[in-house]
Amino acid sequence: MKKIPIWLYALTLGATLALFFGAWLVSNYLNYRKTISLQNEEDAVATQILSLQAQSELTAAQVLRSGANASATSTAAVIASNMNDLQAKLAFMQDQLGPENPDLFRLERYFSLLEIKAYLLERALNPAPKTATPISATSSPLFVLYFYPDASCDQCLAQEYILGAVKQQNPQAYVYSFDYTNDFAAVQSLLSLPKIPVTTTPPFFIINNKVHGTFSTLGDFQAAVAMK
Amino acid sequence: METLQNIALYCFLFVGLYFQVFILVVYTVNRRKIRDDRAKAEREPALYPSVTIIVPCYNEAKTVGKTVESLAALKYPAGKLRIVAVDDGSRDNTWSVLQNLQSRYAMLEIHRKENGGKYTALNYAIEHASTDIVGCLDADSLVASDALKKMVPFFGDLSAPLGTPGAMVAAVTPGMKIYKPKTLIQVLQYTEYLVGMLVKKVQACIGAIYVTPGPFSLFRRDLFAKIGYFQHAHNTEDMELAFRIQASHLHIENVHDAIVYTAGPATIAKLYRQRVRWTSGFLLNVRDYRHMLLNPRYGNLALFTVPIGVAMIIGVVSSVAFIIYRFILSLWHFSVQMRVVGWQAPHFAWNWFFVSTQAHFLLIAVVYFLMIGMIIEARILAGEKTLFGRSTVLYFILFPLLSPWWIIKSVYNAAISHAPSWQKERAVVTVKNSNSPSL
Repeated sequence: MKKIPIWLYALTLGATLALFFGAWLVSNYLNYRKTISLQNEEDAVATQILSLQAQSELTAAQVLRSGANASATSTAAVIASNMNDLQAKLAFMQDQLGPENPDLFRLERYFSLLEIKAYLLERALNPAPKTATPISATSSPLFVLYFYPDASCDQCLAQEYILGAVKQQNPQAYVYSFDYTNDFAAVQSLLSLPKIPVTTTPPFFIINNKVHGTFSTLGDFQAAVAMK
Repeated sequence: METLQNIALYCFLFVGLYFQVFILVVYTVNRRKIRDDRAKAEREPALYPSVTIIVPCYNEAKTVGKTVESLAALKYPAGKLRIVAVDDGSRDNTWSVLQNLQSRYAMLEIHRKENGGKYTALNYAIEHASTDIVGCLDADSLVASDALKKMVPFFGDLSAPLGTPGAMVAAVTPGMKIYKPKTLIQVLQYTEYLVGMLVKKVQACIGAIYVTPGPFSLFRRDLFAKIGYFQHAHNTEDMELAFRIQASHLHIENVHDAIVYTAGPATIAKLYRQRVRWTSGFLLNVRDYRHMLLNPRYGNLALFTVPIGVAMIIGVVSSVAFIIYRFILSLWHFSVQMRVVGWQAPHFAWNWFFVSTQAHFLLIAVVYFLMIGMIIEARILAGEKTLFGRSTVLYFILFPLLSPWWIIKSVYNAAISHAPSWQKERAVVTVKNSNSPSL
């Protein structure tokens, strides 16, 4: 039997652990960079919202010339697109790092506030139609607030597919998702806007100020929106 | 489930990385020994011990001629080399081919017996052998003309009793290459065998070889008197004998410069059958020799080769289980999507942000990087003309897709203790000469 080279085993163990530690360090660094990039994007959207808000207030005070409204609408569309992008990135990072990650938790709460601000602004710029309009009618805006539970639920996956399809099919659909358990006063205030029955539990929707439960199919969603 | 999956994944990655790092570290540390081995193999042997090479045949009519031709062409003194072909009850015309060959080669002895399996054919010839060294060569393999001459010096003092100082080496194994690969499956095996050559050399450096392969392993004849003959051993008699040699604290050497060309399975089905036999045999032999596992008395075979092999098999099986779980989950998501919103064309927009930066992805990249390093080292060791070939690419793409299936089947076979027959998988090839191209 040949001698057992203990030092070779130890050296290999050390090198393998070093590779693991190195991978962990690099991974942490790259994830940190991504989190910073998310933070920056959120800040950029916040600035855009502030700018739009100022523009909207100036319009309301009739300080701006005609044509400012068109510019505001185009800025609003950019904000909506950026918000969608941010939401996808946040969801990706949560999938990668886990929902308990403190940095992501902070960014998610910040994002919720941005959503509320964006929602209020978009509503101000695009008042809801007085009459029922089918979802496919691109000229009429559709405001969808989606409240989901903090734990996974049986119907959540289906609701997410419906929201994804609504966003894809209707450029005038403004979809905002909120964690129902978010303890921000702003989110809780949002829940008090329409008359939500006490028995309502997440997931549920507020679509153009009306409360809806879950939907089984996209067709059900479209029918409910058209009948309002 | 997610946590369990992560733990299993990181354990598997740790074992895989440990294996690769160990191979590269031992190889680097032993570069001088490997260089010395090469020089020793190149020198003219001081003595030419008498050698019997056994060729067990079962339905090998198409290939045995070239095998015997390559043995007859060995650069070894006449009168010191005996070739013994044993027809193990073939159902084709192997026997008449052997008779024709005997009329051409005086050194060839031929025997015919009832079919009993490869190990019985080998034992039959060993019992009748009287030479210092006994070797075997599968009838689908060819040997380079200088292979025997390069291997015999590694036995050391053949006049001293086996197991005494200077006479610890009981077996010597060659370097194996795939002979003129034609099909994609053979091309893929070309790189696999080169990597195997590197791994076997490293295992030899630390006394941890776990198989004395059918293609041209040589043994001291007195080994069989000391530890017994070949056994059925779940149709992996070459593996079991290596375990027994190691359990007896004897050495197995490897001469990577002594090249043997073997005809790898040409189709997926044949490759699958061969690998199921090897892997099942490995698991069943590990079960039979479990007293050696992690026991320092049995050296690096017990501490490295076997535990790593078992851990890799467990890792592959658990990875497949998790991949299947993920696949079922994706199917369920897809079914929900179809039920709820119908088919939605996926839209892809490339963004670096969505490239995973989780630690395990980086570790998988490291595994592939080290694998490339191992392949390059293996190609240098094997004297290949290039550092990279199309075989390397195929190996990277196809091997991870194919190997899990025979591993799973082998685990199943081992669990129910079913060992498939070696005779069913014999590759039928027509071999022309012994110059194998670089791929």
